[in-house]
This record gives sequence, structure tokens and C-alpha cells, in this order.
Amino acid sequence: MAHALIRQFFLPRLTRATRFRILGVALLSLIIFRYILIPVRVQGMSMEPTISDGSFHFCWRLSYLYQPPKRFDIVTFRFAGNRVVLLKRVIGLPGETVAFQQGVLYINGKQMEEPQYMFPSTWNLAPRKVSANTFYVVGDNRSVAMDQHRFGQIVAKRIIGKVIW
Amino acid sequence: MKKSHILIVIVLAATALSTWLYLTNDTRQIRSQLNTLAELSEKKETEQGIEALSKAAGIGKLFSEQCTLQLEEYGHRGTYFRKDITDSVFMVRNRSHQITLKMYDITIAVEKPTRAAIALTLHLSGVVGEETAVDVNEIALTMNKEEGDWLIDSVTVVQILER
Repeated sequence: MAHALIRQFFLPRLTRATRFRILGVALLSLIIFRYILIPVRVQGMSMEPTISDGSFHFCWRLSYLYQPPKRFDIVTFRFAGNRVVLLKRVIGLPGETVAFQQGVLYINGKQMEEPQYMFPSTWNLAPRKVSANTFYVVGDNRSVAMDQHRFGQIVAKRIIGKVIW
Repeated sequence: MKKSHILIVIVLAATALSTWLYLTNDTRQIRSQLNTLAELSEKKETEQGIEALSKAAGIGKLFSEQCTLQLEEYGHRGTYFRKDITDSVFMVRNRSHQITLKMYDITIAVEKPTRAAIALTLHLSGVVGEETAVDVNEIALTMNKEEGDWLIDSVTVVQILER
């Protein structure tokens, strides 16, 4: 009895209703994974050790529909065209002043403790103001030289969503 | 003249007209120039000096006589002559074992009959020494139509992250 039910669930007879269901599931999957919950494969080590090279994650686009990104959110944003997106952590909000001293983050001149585990860093970055409607993003891997790391302020409209998994 | 003959003549004329329109379409010509740039940029390990020289010259011909480059990440900013570009391309080819250039998400806006703005994603990968280098950037180009050919007049790497 159980065997028959399992078989019926996984290998149903191709009736008209089943075909409609399959089509519905396919369409729904397409909409969800293309526009709402976008799969992202990471290439690069800029977010190590939080996010590893080659790992697979999902970006939730609805996160910032009614609210702006928060500090320390990991966000994805369009870097080039529609295909190349970067994953970075938001550290500075619009209007704030961002700086690094010996790898320690300072916001508006105040030392900030970051929630994630990080490799030791010696970054020094003079204070700079985050422009209106932009967010200051940086990767977690600050053990690499600052020149070899892509970071800075990004226009809000380029942010796609929040990395949730 | 039969009705069918008239129909054939109309169909042939329409085909010829659409082919002519397709071939002389500015967007198509610009795309073709960009494809040529990607093809000429490709370098295989077996490439010989003469081939490198001819490909570099071919790339140079895709640029205007004077071209503005804003490629700060690559150490080029300012106005360059076609010869400068050809020489730079030749030098880069000599330094690398392999080069691959791909373009994605190309949008072309023909603003005037002789001027177009192009946005694209440029994926550049190469082997220098024993290291493989990959770089991806959003690029803004302007192209001018000069004597029937669309030539690259300016190249800018769009700065997405401003430090």
C-alpha cells in the first residue's frame, strides 16, 4: 500500500492534471529562482572565511523591498552587466564616515566590533564619507593587500538582495 | 505577366531589401566590429610573432586615429593615437601566453547617425608567466562612424565601487 502511494507520488500517471501540475511547478520554479531567490556560485576568496570559494548560496531579493540594507548584511550587487554579481558585507550606511586603522573598522570615528570571524588585517584607510543613496561594502577577507581587494561605496540601486544561505 | 510571377518578384524584392537593411544596419555593424575585436584579441600559446603583429594591427584599425582611454586599473588614462594602441596591444600579447576576451550583455544605442554609445561586460582572461589572471569589468564605449566603418572612439571602465 505504502509502496504504491510512493510510486504514485514520484511517478504519477501522465494525466492532463499531472501535466498541468508539472507545468505549474516548472513555471513557479523559474519565477522564484530567476526573480526572487537567486542562486549564486562564488568565485574568489574575498569573503573568506565566511564564504568559501566555489560555494553555492541564495540571494533573497525581497529583503530590501521595504527597508534599506543594514550594517553587516551580506549583500549581492550587480558589478558588470546582468551576470556578474559580487558578494560583500555592508559596513557603512549613507552619510556615515568609514575608516580602517590597523584592520579595525571605525564608523563616524567610533571603533566597531564586527560580528564575523576574520583573518588578521593591517588595513589602513583614511576616513571617507559615504554619499547619499550609497552603501559602503567590503569583503571579509582583509588579510589580502588592500590594492588587491575590491571594495568601496556602491549605489543602492545596484544592490540585488541579501545573502540568506 | 502571370500573377505568380508578380508575387515572386515582390517576394524577391522584399528579401533583397530586408537583406540590404540587415547588412547595413548600424547595430549589426557595431556588433560585428566588437566580434572582430574579440576574435583578434584571442591568443593561443602557439601564436608566432608575425601573427601577433598582424592581429595587433587589426585591433588598432578598430580604433579611431585618436581615442580616449579611461582604464585606470590598467594604467591607461588620456588620449592615445591608434599607433599607441597597436603598440600596447602587441606588448601585452608578447607578455602573455594565452588571452581570451569575451563580451556579454551588450547594449547599443545609436545616438546620432555617426555616433553610438555601447555598454558591455568585458571578461578578460590570460596566462602571464605561470599565473592565470581573470578580470571582469563593465565597460562604456563610444563609437564613431568614419568613412562607413564604426570605430572605437573612447573606452571607459565603469567604476562601480568608489573607494
